[in-house]
Amino acid sequence: MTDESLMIAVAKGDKRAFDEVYARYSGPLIGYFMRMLWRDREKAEDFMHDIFAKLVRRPELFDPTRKFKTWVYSVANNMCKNEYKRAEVRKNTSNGLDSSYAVSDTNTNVFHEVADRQFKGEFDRCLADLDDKHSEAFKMRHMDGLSIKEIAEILDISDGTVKSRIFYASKYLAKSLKEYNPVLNR
Amino acid sequence: MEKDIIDIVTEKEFVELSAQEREELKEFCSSEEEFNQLKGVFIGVEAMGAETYTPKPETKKRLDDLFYESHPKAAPVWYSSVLAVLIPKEKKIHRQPLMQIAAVALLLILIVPFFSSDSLTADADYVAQEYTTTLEEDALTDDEAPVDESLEDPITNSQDAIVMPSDGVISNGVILNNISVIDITTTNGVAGSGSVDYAWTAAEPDFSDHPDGIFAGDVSGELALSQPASESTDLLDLLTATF
Repeated sequence: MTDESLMIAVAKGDKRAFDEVYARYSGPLIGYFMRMLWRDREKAEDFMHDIFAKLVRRPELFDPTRKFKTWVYSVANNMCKNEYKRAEVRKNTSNGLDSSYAVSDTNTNVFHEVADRQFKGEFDRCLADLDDKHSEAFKMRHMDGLSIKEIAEILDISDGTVKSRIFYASKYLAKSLKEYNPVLNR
Repeated sequence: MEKDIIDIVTEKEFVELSAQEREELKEFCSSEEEFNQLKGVFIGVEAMGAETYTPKPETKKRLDDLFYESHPKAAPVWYSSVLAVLIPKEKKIHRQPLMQIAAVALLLILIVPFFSSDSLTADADYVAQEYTTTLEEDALTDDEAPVDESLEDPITNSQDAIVMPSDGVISNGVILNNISVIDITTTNGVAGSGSVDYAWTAAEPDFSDHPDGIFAGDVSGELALSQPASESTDLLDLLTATF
């Protein structure tokens, strides 16, 4: 059953359809929010909950003619943008300590399977150095597994712009990680 | 997931790229070295493996509660499951089992009388044929042998028939209506056979107390008759007055 037909069933109050949508998207959405929101597991969980709560309360918000995957990621992306704005306000009104950047998930198993821990650390640092629009497109493509077309739809930009952002980020990462050359090291 | 330029970079070597692919990649990487650097990054990221997260059960519980709050579950009714099978909402009306059963029942109701009427017609034909045959046989019998009329008399032929006494006198008359045919008998004649004592009739008064009966007879007891009312003016008058 497609995501779109499941959502039609959810709108009619089908609990099993809701469970199926939840099973398909809860994990990937938490991962997306983790990457986008400073690896804050609690915040990621809350944001994922908020998205599904929206689906339950107002299922008519989803247009069945659209692809559910791109729609839900665009909602998630907008939520992250709003969070960035709120964080900016908090940063300006705080005592100078940015609490959100300090939070990290200790339970995550990210990168545990990769042997070169140094490379991973450097990769994260380089990715964080990139500006948001480039890192965002790069993460969506390589970590969330979205296609260029899907990213373009979610971010409401052209395919060419997505490609450009991804390749810019890739070039930056390649230059920064040149000494770690992951391919040559394996 | 559909393949895009990044998949091509990951999968192919620089020398394997087609002219179109090289053209597309030109603005991102012009040399083989740059291409390999990009490729290295993409493969490296892929090798890290996808991050998998399992949501907390509390989150699901909260969402379930919210779902039941937003979509209150209807109380289960015993016939709900039956109705769900007979009238599934997702099926078109002509595909619903209840409609199909009703259609079959309607067909049976319409078809069965046709078969029944055919058998009735056949039976009627058979009866008519039998009747004709019987009539023909009767006609032949009538021609061949004279029939003793007394044998055909439904009263005299019956064991329960009222038979005139041997002296041929019916002292107080005849009960009509209760007996369809009674032979007219005079004091001198005897009709029928057998013997039944009619003494009880003599003991009875001149009228019958039977509600449906019409009693007509000679007071003197000399003559009793039973005949169509239209042939007897007195009797007809009596009948007219009765009804």
